[in-house]
Amino acid sequence: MEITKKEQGGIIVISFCGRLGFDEASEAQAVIESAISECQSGVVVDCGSLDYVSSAGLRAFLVGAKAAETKGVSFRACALDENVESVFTISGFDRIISLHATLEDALGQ
Amino acid sequence: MLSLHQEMLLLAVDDDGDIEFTAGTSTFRLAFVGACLIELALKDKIEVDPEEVRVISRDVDNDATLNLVMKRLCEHSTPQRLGFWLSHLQADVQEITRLTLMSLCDQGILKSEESRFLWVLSSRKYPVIDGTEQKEAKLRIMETLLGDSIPSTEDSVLIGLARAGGLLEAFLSRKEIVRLEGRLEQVSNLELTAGLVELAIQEEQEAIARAMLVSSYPI
Repeated sequence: MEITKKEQGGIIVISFCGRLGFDEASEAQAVIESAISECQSGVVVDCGSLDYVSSAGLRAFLVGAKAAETKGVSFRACALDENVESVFTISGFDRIISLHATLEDALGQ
Repeated sequence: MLSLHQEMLLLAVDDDGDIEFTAGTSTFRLAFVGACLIELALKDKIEVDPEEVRVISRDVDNDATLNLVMKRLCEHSTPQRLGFWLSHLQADVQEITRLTLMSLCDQGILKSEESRFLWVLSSRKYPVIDGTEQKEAKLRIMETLLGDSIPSTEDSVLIGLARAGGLLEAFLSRKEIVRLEGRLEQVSNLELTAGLVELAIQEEQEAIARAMLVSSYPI
């Protein structure tokens, strides 16, 4: 999985590309945690190029949501494809993470 | 710290050491086997997605319950869906329950006592020794339900399993459960394996309801 990170107006945008399973979960979690500690107002995870997420991969998002809650910043995800969105819904993550159709929506533009 | 399947069974033990009536229901049995699978997922021994369960590591330390579940998972050469395993493991549910009760006895949390009913029928009771672990599990559930923060995966899953297995009624009134319904919905099963277990239980309940409807109104 490829991970990129950029800053846009106080918000850090992380883009995941490829699969997020057991082998990639630790790196994804570390990137999310460091982005939350560095950000000024929030983190957006762009899932536009993410085509798979498993139980192990999904835990990185819960860790992110909890860390963002503790710091008092926003934590959003956007551009989920049908399969990834289904995994978020089954796991109830749509109840604790704000999901957006596009990156622009997530950035509030 | 206790594992999920241990905590779930501990919540099903009443003050007299009897296992709650609900523990005999098919819903509870599915949730209980689900707890073992979720525990394996949280320990990174299996990886789950909506299509299949894959074994990552067969090493489950000294947990006899998880060893049995892992043994069954490894008996199939091709990966199966979680729903398949929930059904398939029902054949072992009595042994899984016995092994979990024994582990709680070995840890000094329960004790095993032979009791007699009408001087003839024997049954086994599992009185709680000092109740610390049971109280702690109930307290964590209540703190999460009465708070407003995102729970840990473990607490969220325990709440979901207790809810699905009908165990909340053992320490919350019906009125309280109704009052907390929104929060229960929000914090239950924030984990993919747990979400899939919940879906499988819903399907089972719908199948039972359909079967009852058909038997009530035969064609």
